[in-house]
Amino acid sequence: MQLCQHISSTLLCTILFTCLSVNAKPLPTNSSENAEFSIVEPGHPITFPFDHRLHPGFQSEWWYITANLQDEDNNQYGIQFTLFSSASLTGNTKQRIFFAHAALTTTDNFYHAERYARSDMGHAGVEYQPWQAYLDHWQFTGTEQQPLPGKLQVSEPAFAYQLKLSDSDYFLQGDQGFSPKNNDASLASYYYSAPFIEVSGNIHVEGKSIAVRGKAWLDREWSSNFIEIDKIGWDWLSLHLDQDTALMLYRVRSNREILLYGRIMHRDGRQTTIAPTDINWRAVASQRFSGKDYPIEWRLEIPSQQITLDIQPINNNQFLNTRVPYWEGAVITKGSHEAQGYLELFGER
Amino acid sequence: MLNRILILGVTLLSHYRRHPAQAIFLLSGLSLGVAMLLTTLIISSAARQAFTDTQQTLGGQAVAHLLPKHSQNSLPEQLYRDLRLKGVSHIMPIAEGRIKTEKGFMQIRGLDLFPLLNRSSNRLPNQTGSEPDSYSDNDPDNSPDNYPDNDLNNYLFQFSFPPYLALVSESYAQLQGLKNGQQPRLADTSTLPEVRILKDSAGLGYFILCDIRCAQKHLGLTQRLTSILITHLSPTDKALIKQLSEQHADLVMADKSIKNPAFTDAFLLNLQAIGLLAFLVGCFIAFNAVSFSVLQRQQTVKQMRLSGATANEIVIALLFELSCWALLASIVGSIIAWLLSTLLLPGIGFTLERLFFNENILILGRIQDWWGQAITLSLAATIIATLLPLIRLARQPPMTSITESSTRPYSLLLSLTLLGLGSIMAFYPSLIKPSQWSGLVITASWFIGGALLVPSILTRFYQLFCKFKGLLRYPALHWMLNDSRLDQQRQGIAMTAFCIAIAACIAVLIMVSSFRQAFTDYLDVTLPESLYLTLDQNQIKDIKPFLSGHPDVELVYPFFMSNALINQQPGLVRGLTNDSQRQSSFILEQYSVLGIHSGDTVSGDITSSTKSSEAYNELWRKLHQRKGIIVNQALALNYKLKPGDRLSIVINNHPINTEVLGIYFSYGSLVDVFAIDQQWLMELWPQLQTNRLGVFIKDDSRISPLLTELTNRFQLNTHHYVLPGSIKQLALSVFQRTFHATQLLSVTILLIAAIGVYCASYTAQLEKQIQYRLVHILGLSSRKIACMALLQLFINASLTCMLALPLGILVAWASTKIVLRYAFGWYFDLIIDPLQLSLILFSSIAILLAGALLPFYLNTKRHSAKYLTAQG
Repeated sequence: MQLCQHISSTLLCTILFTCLSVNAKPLPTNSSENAEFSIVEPGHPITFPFDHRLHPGFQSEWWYITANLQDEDNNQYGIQFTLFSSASLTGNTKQRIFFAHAALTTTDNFYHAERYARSDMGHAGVEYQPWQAYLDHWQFTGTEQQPLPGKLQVSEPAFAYQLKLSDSDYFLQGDQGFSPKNNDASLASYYYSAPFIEVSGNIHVEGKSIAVRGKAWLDREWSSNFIEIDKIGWDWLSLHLDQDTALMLYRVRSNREILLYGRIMHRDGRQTTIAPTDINWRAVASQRFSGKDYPIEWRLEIPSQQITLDIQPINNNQFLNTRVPYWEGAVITKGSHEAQGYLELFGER
Repeated sequence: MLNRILILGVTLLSHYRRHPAQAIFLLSGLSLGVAMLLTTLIISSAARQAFTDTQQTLGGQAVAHLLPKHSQNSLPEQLYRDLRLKGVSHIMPIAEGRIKTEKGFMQIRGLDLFPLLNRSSNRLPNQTGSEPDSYSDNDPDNSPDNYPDNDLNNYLFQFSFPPYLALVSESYAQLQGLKNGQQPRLADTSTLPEVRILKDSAGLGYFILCDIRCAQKHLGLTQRLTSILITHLSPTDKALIKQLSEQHADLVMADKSIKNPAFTDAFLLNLQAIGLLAFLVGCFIAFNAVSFSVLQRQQTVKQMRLSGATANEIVIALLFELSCWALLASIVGSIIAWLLSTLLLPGIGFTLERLFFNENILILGRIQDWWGQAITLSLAATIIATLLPLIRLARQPPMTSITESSTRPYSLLLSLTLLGLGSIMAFYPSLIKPSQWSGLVITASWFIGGALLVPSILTRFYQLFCKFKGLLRYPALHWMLNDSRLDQQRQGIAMTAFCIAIAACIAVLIMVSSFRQAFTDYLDVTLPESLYLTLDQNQIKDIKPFLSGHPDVELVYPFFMSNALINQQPGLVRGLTNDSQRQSSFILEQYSVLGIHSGDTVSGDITSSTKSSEAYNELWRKLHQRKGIIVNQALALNYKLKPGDRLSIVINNHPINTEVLGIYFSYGSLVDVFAIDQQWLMELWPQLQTNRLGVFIKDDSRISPLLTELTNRFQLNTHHYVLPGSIKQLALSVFQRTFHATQLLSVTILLIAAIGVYCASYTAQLEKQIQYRLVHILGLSSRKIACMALLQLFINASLTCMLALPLGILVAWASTKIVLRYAFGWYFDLIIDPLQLSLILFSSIAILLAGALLPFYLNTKRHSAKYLTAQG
């Protein structure tokens, strides 16, 4: 891997930056300028299994799995797997690439990796029958046309995991899947989650294979104008409050406004949107990574739901030093609930 | 004290204001010597850096390659996909080949950049507040935060998707005449993507780099690859690769590839040796100039000593002068070296790439990086050239003059010792461990020992002639011979330098001619056909019968080469058809003289002229009667084989123990190969397939029409055929370019030496003014004096040339037969062209005499009486 990374540094640095910066004409990637990409609109029905597929008309899309795991000795672990699809226009043609992030957290260490592939080389993509999202040998394989129940396999020299994922109900976020990311809903995505996945399998780290069990969470989003990455940031939190209740919160920050969204989901299918005014979510401690402060400890109060939580990461250093860097890690809570979950912090200043 | 030294120093230096010619000679000697050595050091360093870079950057860092099996000319892209999906990550798909443009051919290499972005973290310790540095790539420039992500995406997409970009290094753009923003037109009227020229330091080689899809389109390789590059190979990966690629590809480890840095080392070693010679010759020039200035400054120094200056103060003042010369020489030398390097680097870089497979372009680096070296070299040169004369000057007692020391007898002793040492090492190799360095020591001993003979030979020659009583009848001649005998200390040194230069020039000329012949033979052996076709099996089925029946075609044969075991080690087997055309294209280094003495096997050298000898025909017959095989030089060297030995081989699981009939030239290839009768190979390996056809055409002028016919009839692309003629032409032109550089350096040495001799003659002329005037007043005309001086120079130069000629031949012989053989296990025959050698010798003498005409002429113009009065 080291060698490959060395090529990466040499070639990309020299070719792309040293040289192409002269006379290079940047291509439009900002979706708002691209009428050729489909637009996210309210009222659009989300149907399964159709919407488990790739949406080639949209610019960005991702499959996001996080899981909180324990071994026989009740040691805490976290895993993350994300497959992103991103398209650009060159001329009149849409060109799509895939990239993926994988991470494994122990209480002492944090391991992560990223991979890239173009869609037309055939070693990354999303298949429908049987359902599979993959990039190289990082593979999330479902059953028939559904991602769940499924298997998740990731292996890198420093870490690996093979996990079985149980079936789960899918919960449409926002308004029937239409999830606004600012107050006038000009930025939005289609968004659904599967928060009640039971997971079991093995993780491989530091030369050991460890049997684990726990809870996983699948998120799916696609959009053409969701992210103006240089203008906004967000904090996203998912928690398994107990065996049958899950909480999802996100806060999208921009220079002009902050959008706060929260929802409680129950295993029986009930779900409740929480009014922003009822959410008191504040950072209590930060840590600096790559010159930016990331608020990794939080206090959350939702009086209407009798929730009062102190949220802490199981390992402070869960910073993904990827090409687009962010902090994402397994957390536990103290207070009204002893919950487990995942926290994502992106675009800190 | 300081003031006194400063005044002394300035006074001593002011001598050169009155005698600028001496300053010019001194500075030119030092500067040229420094410049030449520095140039070769810069070039060598650039080449070594390029090799190191090749290990670090694209293409060169591969630990292995997956190459198409011999029966195929490309790999299915599916293999690459399968490997990635199975977890083999350290691989890169490559589509590479030649494309035909309106002006000629260009090399294009396509690859997929996206997997290069893959990154993986190492363990990250849980230290609160610590800045994580989790990536195994520690290059600070590669920190993700340093990537402007939007720009990265933009450029990545621009490179990777239509309309694409074509990236070219400055050097390759210069060679191909490409401009930034240009879209080169291809012969099929399509165009390449817009060209972006990158600095050479980006590490691109001599090709157009573009996206893999773009390269596939232009090379006609849809969903096919020419190779898969492997950058890291774990045992698991290796097993997976072998399992998945069994049908389509051979896993070739990089150490068995054709890259041959040792070859380049030999090339650079030659360059450096030439640079060192130039350095020594430059020192000789400076020595002459300083010696003369010392003689002229005796009076000044006497006056200084009488005025109270101590010897130490004068030494310090002279050291100040020495430092000034060193500083000046380092400035001028590094500027000249820089200019020379700029001129030579692109050509040498291209040559190294074509001949020795160093894919990286030579980069000049920064001039200031070489400043330290320049200063060191200048100091060394100045000390070598000036220290002794200056110290003699400083230590001169106030009331005496510096006397010429007598000829040192130990120069002859040193010369004979060196010659003896070299001979013992050369002819008793068992006494030392043969290596490249021992070969170089032998060559250097002979070279320096031979050159040091010059003063002794010249002195003995003049001593011998001075003894003839009959010469007394010719007073002018008698005077000249005696003068020459006494003048050998100064002239001898200049002539030694001249001898070294001529011998070096002769050695370089012989080596270049010989290497050219060897290289031509190599091309003839490796590319004997008129046309070379690489086809798929269906095309072979159609095209082979067509060519067999074609009236212009003399022979069409399938070219078989595949893996085999040689003494249980991997190697290659090639098939040879029994045809006179194939026979004539094989040049053997050694062969068995068969059938002359039954049971006896005698080995001997063979040259092109004996290719048709009966013995050689017998060998060929025996080869096709399956009584033995012929092996290449690499194989013979590895297993210490000679004709008549037996060798165990395994072809397609058939073990065979057979006789080595002969050894054929492989010209430095490191791969073990043996050749057997093609029919035999086919019987041992019936399922062996080939995708290559060799075609011999009766009349070379019919190649082009035949190619057009083939292209039209069978829709062939440029990657389907190779014209060996054009490759030979290209290779030879590259070869010529390299050796033009070498010859340029050797001729420069000769010129420097000629300047040295001229300088010595000039200073001698000035020094002998009084003597000349006296002889003139005694009745010898000025013209006659000038003629005698010229005759003296001519005799010196001729005798030097007579010694330099065998010395040059000896050095060339030692370089090829000893250094090359010890270092690389192969050598080539020396080609000596008497005409060219005569040309070098005569032109050297002519240049010397022509250069000496001016001072001699000026000398005759002076009025002797007035001069003597003025001196008196």
